[in-house]
Amino acid sequence: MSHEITRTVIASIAKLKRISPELVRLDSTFEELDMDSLDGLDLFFELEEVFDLSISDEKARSFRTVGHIVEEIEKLLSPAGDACQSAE
Amino acid sequence: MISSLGQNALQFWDRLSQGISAIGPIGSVDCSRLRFRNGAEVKGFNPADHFDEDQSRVLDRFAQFGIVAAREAVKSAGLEWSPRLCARTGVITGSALGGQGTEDESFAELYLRGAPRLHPLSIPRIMANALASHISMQYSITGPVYTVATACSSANHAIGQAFWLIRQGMIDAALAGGSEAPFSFGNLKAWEAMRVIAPDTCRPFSKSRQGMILGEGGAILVLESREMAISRGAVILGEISGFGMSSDAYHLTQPKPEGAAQAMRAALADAGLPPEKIGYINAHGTGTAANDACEAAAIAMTFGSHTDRLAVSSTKSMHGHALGAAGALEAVATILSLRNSLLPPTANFIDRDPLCDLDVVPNVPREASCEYAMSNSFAFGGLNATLVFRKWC
Repeated sequence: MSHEITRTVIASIAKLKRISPELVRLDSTFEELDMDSLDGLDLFFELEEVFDLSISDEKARSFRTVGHIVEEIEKLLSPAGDACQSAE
Repeated sequence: MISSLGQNALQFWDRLSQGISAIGPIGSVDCSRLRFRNGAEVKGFNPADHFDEDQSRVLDRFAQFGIVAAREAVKSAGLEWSPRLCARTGVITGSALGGQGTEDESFAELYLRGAPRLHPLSIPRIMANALASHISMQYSITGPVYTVATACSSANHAIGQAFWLIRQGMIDAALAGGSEAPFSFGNLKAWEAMRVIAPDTCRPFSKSRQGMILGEGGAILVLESREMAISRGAVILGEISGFGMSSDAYHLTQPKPEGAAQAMRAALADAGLPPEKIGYINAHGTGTAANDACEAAAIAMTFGSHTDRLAVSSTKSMHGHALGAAGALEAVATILSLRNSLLPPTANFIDRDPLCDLDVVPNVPREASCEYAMSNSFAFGGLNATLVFRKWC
């Protein structure tokens, strides 16, 4: 996994939940991080802005861990991915 | 009334009672920068058919819908206005967004095109109470006139309060309901960010549901005391038996079954009815994962073993979610269901969800004679409003 993407995602979650980045792991679940649906919306909004991409609603609903988000962003940013695509 | 299903109550019921969905590609807004494409728009509405230029100038689309609905309702009710009736009548309307279409257009002029000034009638077009005020002026109604903005529960709150004002003897009659016109680019982008809009269609209570579909329109009911209706020989379409409301006091967007159940129980208590008397529920049924499962749980909490004998359908599957007008459209749907002994289905239903273990009248209308029916509206912010209707016979 890209270190830079992982670092940015973890930093965004830490900022949102006002916790230390050290408490956020790739296998942390939303529940463990006490993230509700509005926190999720906030996070995806922030990540879409930072990485200039669009995360589909379907994908957003499927995320369970921090690692899932990192994987999806890597996919969207890879040459084969389409950062502007909001496939549904 | 006016909705995506037609421009009067007859057309609405004709399509609703056949299970025809009006959901389709959005035509009024360029959706190329949106993640969704479908909505339930009022098609072929020409303001010039209803308003002269002077009137149109001061009316946002949401107010136009409400006035068209009010005119149909007043005409159908055969009300004859006297100075006393005008003073003893109220107008209570609901709208979540008011004239946001005007706001969206105005701000685009200002920010995008550098307009030096905005139209002087922008504020009177945008204000949420515009519809209530226009109805009041049109019929010289001088009783209590106001607007309720409780997001998706607005119209149910409006109708419920009008019902209570009449029952308490504070007024003799009311025009109550709601209207909404949510199709502007700015508003659709805001809904997109909520991630609750389905990419295809609205499938309430289906396991594969992917969200709601926005709708627009307006409906106004003429409410009056039973005594007044009988004494003037009115054609009575139905009776409101009870109204209940509650707040989840829990979360801005996540509903809580206990809150919805509290509103349903309050409405039953207000009607003086045991749960077993209800035969049909016109559900809030938005088609979102959270609402439908929560509403099913709330219905089970309220009705217990009677849940298995209830028919529950969401007509949003056909007319979309008209937000602050939703309760008004669904009040008409519920009253006409009782009157015609025909339950509109939950359209677009494809697969059963164990979390929504209800008889949702899937896809096919059903003949059923019920004496009492319930209509639910639940809003973002956790505000719940439930009406109970009785068949008039």
